[in-house]
Amino acid sequence: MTANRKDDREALDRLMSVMVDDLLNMPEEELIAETLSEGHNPTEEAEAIRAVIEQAARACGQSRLKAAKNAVAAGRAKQNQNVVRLDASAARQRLAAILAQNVDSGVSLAARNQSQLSDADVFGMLADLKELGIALEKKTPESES
Amino acid sequence: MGTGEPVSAHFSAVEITEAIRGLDATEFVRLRRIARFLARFSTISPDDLVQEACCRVMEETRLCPREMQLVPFLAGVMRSMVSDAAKALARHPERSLDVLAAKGRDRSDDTMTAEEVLIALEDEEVLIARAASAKRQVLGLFDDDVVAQIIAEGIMEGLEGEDLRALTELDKTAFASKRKLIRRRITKAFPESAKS
Repeated sequence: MTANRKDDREALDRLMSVMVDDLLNMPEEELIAETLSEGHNPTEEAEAIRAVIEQAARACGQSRLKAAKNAVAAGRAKQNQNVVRLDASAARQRLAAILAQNVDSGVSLAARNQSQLSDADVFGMLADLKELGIALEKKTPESES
Repeated sequence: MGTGEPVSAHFSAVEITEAIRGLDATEFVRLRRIARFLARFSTISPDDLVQEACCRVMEETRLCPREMQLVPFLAGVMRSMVSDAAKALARHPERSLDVLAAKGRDRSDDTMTAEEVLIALEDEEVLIARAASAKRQVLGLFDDDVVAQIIAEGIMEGLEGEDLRALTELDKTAFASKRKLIRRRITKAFPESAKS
């Protein structure tokens, strides 16, 4: 019974395919003539499909935009996970420690005079140092000896 | 050649969107005729078939090879949508989401309401019975034309081209006319699933 039901569907699928192939291969004049003979206006038919296609393009454009926004948001969220949040005082301590470890690194004297730096300057310097690849080295038993 | 990135074997989303938009009016008419024909075997309306097929290629869910012509490719996508929707409903009613999604693409989520589930379950039995009845009906359309009936039955049995024509002993022109007659009678006898 199930097999017969499946066969019926497949038989119809085959018929559908052959009939669609005939429509695909039909010369333009015949296509227009058949459209008219079925009571459809070819110009209106074309315009209707143009509208459907524009609707599809808009829907897909919006969906691509949404996906892009989600990807950016996901990227930012991931980036934020990697950022260590410091308060101003901890940031100053960290900057002082990095500078102490990198006396010969060429960091300017002004930068070393932290008391004259605003909190924003301190955070900015930490970011700049990170970009330069200068970070606080973790002390190991060997480095301490 | 040799400069820049290698060209992909498939059209990109942007390329295919522009290519579809750039089809000429005759090809739009052809697409609608094909959709109208396929909708006779489906619960999906002609315009929803075209829109969903376009979305699938524009979203690159279905990749169109560069050497493929666009209208036959879109026709193939629509044909598989009709066929897959019916098969999915017959075997797995829960997959009828595809059909429902195709019916109402504007919905922001993919969840089904209880009412939609009930409709999908009813659709399953309806579609199975519809296939059997449609096959009987199609063959019945040619009770007065044995040759057309042989061709229709032959196609359904999987016969193609010369094998099929040889069965009827018709010349190429007469054979083409019979196929046209078959399509016209089906078009006349089967209503579209929804008027568009």
